Amino acid sequence: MFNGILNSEDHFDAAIASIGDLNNSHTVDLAIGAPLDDNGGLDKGAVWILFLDEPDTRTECERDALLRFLRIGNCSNQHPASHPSLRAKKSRLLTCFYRYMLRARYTLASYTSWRDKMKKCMTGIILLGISSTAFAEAPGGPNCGWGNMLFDGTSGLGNHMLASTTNGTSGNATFGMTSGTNGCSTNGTLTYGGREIVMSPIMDEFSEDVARGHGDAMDAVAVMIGIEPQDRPAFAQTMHENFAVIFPSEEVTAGEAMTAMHGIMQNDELLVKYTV
Amino acid sequence: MFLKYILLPVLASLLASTSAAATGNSSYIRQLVQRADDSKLWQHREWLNLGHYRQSKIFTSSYSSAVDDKRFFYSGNGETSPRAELNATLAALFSEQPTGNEHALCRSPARYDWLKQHLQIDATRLPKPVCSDYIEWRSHIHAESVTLVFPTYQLNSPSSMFGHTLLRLDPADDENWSDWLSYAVNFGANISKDDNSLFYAWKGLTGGYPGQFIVMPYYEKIKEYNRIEKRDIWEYRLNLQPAEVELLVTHLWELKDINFAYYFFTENCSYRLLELIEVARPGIELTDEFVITAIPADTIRSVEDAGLVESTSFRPSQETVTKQMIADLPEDDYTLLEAFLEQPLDSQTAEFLSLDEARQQALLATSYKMLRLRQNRKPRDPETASKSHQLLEQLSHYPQAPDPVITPPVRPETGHLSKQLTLGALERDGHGYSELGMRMSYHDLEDNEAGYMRGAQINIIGMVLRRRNSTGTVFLQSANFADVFSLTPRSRFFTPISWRVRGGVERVYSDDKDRLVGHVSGGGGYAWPLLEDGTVYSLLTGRLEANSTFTHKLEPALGAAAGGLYHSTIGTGRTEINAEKFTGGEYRINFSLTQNLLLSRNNALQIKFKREWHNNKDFNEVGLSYNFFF
Repeated sequence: MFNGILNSEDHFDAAIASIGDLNNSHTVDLAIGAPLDDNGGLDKGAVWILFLDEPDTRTECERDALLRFLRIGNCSNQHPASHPSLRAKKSRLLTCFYRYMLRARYTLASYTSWRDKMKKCMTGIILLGISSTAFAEAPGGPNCGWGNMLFDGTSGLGNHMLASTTNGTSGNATFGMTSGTNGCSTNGTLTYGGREIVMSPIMDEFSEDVARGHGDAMDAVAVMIGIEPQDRPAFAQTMHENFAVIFPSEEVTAGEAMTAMHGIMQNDELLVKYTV
Repeated sequence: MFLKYILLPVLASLLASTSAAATGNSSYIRQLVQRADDSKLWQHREWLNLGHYRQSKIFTSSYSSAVDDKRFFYSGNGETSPRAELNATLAALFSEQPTGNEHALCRSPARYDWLKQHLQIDATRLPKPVCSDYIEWRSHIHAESVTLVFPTYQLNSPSSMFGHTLLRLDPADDENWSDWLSYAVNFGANISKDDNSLFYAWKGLTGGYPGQFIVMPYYEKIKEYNRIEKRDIWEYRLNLQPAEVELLVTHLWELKDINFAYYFFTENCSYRLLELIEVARPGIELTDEFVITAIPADTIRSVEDAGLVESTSFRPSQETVTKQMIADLPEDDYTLLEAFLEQPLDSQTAEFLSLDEARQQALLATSYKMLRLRQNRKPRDPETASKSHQLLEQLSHYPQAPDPVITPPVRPETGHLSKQLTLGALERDGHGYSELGMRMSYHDLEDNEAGYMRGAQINIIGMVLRRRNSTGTVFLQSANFADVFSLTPRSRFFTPISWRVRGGVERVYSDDKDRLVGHVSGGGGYAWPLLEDGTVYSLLTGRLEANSTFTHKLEPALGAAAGGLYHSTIGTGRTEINAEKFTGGEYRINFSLTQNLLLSRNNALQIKFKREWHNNKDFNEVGLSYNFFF
């Protein structure tokens, strides 16, 4: 079924469409455009058809990638353009197609139940073919500090001797004020329904808390999103269960993680109310 | 043409300020100034606090402000005259100029509130500038209570050995909040990036840097101290009431971008924070006792003595947490942990899979922590990043991971006080001596360890005088500028270096008698744990000595030292043998045994035996001393 090569230059997912139930499996199938696909010749382009009803013919990883992809992209009540980083999803999808990642949690059963949920979302054609340049100035664009990768180094913190004799800072003097436009500030803040979310600076800590299922960084993120205290445990648990969705690889950026969390919350009965 | 464009607005604004409304105010301002003068308002403690004025101890009519910044003052001689500053502030509050955020009402909300309250200022006569910056800032600062934060010592960075203090502004308890998001108020030097490291340290010590208050999210500080610098953090929630906190916050705004002189030992972070607390709660006196040094632990004590501390909590560093996690692992799993760290990750081995779920989870979690700790202070490395990610991913398949249980150590402010006085009697090579010693700070390896980091010796500025009993002559035995020893035991997973360095003048046996020599001595090596409460160490040492009997006035020596330290409830015991030989041929071998006997928190007896071997003589020294901390 899946034979052919995709790479990051193929612009896979430039467009995605539900094409109805092609193979009478009682499930919609997807057409995904890759305008610069090289399988038929350099940059000839291709449309990939993904049959959602044949789990056995796809690796679990592919299903999983698709699942993430759709959760984030399709089942959203926001206009696709408001998603900060579609490119992220693409790379995530590709990563997963090409990398073995055994994820025991997504059993066939949960896949099926997810699929049923998705059916409701996939009415009509949803175009995700947004050129990446459209996001250059958007919240979460590369200039907003979203670019922080997981496990970024800590060596750039300036001379240690200095910092400790003077307890000083050598960056821009700050006074707890954020500045900037487009919902992003110089210190890597992004806005989420009008709230400021600072993910980049605490992403390492947050990813650890998500993996462990709880922690201070988890609480901090929950507060920033506006999760009520009584829903914090549920939030923590849901994030914990979806670690691989939020942090699909070590190359994930804060913006991508945030987008993935948004998708997860939208598909969660309890947390959907926080997705503004 | 050019002139006209510039002059016109200037003239217009001059005219505006002398308009009818303003002249009406000028008599009102005169009236207020008169009222303030009559009641000597400028001498009020609260006003002096707001201007950071210190009254001279000798000429009591003379004041000077710690603020080193013209922008802070409305009066040209505001820095030395609280009275002129008060009057100028009144005028500035009523002035129509400048407008907006630069207006005195926007810049000095705390001063305004205070003056308004004490002079019953008629607010309707004031201009109405729009303070958009202040309003925006206040919308970020949720402050109902204040926590004093004390990141403890970090031995491997000499200059942070005393610790640091900062404040944290917290919202009301019932607010949906996380203290990670609270704002930290930090006083530190404002550094230019071009300075090199030695220059930094020097300027930091001597006041060459301007200091400023900086407000930043607390998670930045948690990252800085808990993670990057591996320092445990103590948090002391203060019982300041919301109104007092409000005063602190409004005054903090007045200090935005304002320069103070920064001195590492005296007017440092801790000192300035105490001043802020004094502003918040007028009437308490926290800073007076810190004329010579303001060591963070002492400032914590002074805050506690003033009855300000409501509760205390401990935030262990990443290293503390990791060490606890390793200690919690069954020792059988150490080989697997090592394999996880050193080799490409493979969690599908039969050995790993045979463990129960909790042990698997603990191994993964500990490996991750360890890996991150090793990656500390390093730039991103794709291999480690990938491995870290894999570990987390696998960890995420387990149920919620439990936190390691960490027993907080003895609180630093409950440890012995910082200054030390020593009285001693000894016999050296058959002669009797009595001894008087004084140390400004802080802690010897042998001293009462409660509240201090084990294996951390930090002594700054100390002096010992001796009197030879037979002749009655008194002489300088030693004067230390600094004496630091970092003894950190190695283990299977942590391999730190131990080191020591000290410098000053001291009397040593050389050639034919005890002579006063100048020296810098140091050493580096390893230490290992011995049983539960012991440490043994060995170091390679070097010494540079200025000695009048040497053929060269300055001679280096090379040597080695080995020793052991044993902590027990009666007090710490220490033994050391060290040998060194100078390039000119002189050698010195010392063997010493010291036992500290604790009498109470601040009182101890110390017994010392020492044997020395020299080129032409061997002899013993036996002594008993009484150490008192204050």
